[in-house]
Amino acid sequence: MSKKINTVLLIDDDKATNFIHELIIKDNDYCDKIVTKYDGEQAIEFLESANENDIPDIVFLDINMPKVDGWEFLEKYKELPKGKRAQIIVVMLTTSLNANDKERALSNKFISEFRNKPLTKEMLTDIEEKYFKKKGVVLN
Amino acid sequence: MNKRYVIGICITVLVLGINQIFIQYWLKQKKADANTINVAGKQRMLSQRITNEFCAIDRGAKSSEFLNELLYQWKDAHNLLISRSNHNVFSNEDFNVSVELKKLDKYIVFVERQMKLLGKTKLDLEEITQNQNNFLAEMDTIVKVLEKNSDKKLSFIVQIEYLLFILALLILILEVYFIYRPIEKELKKSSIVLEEKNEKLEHAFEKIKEKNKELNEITYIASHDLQEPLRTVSSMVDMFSSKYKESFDEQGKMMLGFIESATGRMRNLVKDLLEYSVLGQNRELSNVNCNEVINDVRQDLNQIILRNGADIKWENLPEVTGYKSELRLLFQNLISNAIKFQHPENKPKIRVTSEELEEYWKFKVSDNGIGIKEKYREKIFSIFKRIHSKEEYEGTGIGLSHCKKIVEMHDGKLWVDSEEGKGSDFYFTLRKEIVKLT
Repeated sequence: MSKKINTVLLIDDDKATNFIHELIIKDNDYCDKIVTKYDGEQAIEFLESANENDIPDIVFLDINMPKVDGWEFLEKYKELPKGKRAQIIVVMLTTSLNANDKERALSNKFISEFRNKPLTKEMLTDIEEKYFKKKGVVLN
Repeated sequence: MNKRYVIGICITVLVLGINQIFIQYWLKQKKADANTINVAGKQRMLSQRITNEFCAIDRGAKSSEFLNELLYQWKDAHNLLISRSNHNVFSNEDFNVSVELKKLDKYIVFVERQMKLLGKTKLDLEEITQNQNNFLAEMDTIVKVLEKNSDKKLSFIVQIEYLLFILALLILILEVYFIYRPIEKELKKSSIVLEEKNEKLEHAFEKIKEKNKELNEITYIASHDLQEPLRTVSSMVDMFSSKYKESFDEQGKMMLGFIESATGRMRNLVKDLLEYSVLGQNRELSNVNCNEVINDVRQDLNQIILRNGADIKWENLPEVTGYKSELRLLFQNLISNAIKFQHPENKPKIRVTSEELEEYWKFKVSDNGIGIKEKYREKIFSIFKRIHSKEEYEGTGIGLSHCKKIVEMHDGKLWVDSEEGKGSDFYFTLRKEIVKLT
């Protein structure tokens, strides 16, 4: 792949899921750096203290997590200064959202995509095409 | 509807009130008439006595003093009659009482003149008697007219009284027809609606009961049938692991590890789900001594208690009506939670107390553990909801759901009061007389 993507942040409490996601990202040479956090709180702490180069381009966010869950993460994310935010957030779902969650999710401007777990090669390519290739063309 | 009802009553009361006032007024009038007639009667008597007095004086038997007094009374009463007859509403047009009374003045004047002549000339007794007779005749006529007028008034009162009575009756009938009957109809209608709603509710309740049963069955079947293939997977993984693990590289070993732990977790989840679905099924209510139950639980948890140095105390708990093995599971879950959710450096201290309420027994299981954040106090009772990562505290997250289901089986409630970092108090109530739904 063309390496338009620098850093990816994975937020999920399940170790096995993170392992699979890391593996698939690495195998496809999708980005330079993968950061993995096990709940929303850790992720926010990471974003707050990260230097400019470490701010992720993509966040893959799980919703159901102990402690600070996906929704609470998004609440806190809203408070972050612009420079500490990622380019896009992709919400990763175990099962499709229920009606209440859907409404809540659609009204959140930070969420770019909803995808079902686990991450696949096709998904990664698709996201790159959609959000990063175009930008490249404009920049050129 | 209510407003009309009140107005209806007000109108009836008003009509009856007017009726009363009217009756009182005419009764007063009637009394005054009777009084007047009485005075007129007295006048007749006075005139006769005056004549008698003249006769006595003529015989030389008496002085004129008493005669003077009688004449004074006579004149006074005469003037009273005239003034009263002036106010009379029912004066006959052909026969004006007041005018007729005034005509009698001449008889009084005659007597007065005779008085003055007393002692000067001889009395003309014949003329005096004649004067008295004429007076009596005219007075009789006047009294008759007065009596007739009074009777007229009385019959008028009776007529008005009838009229008002009929009016009140009419209003009442109209009210019954237009107000009370519609109200009653409406009440009947709403009671029918209520009955229908009740029926619907009962129907819905039956349906819910059915669905609940179905749901339990589905959960049972799903968890039961899931166990079979799951067992195959997990035993295959075990065999695979023991035979080939060593020939894998690091990543392969890690993947195998994930598969093993995931299947293990799934086995636990399915087992818990199965237990949840069969909770309280086909169980009988019995008298359960809570002291014995906790004692059993303590023996069951002996190893964990010793390992964590936990201190469990309870005081004189009651005997309750309930499902014995479920209650045991309830205490076991709450106590093992109290031991599990503890700071590693702390020794768990658990107290179980009870309180008798009117319809319930209220229990409290308190600990000195890590406590629960305010926002999780509802969440912790949902099935498979966990607020800690699996690494921090193990478990599937079904324990408190079990507890909740058990308490609800006993028509009670389960809730928690907690201060983060200081410990939690779990409360639950058990109904003294459980209503069995199935």
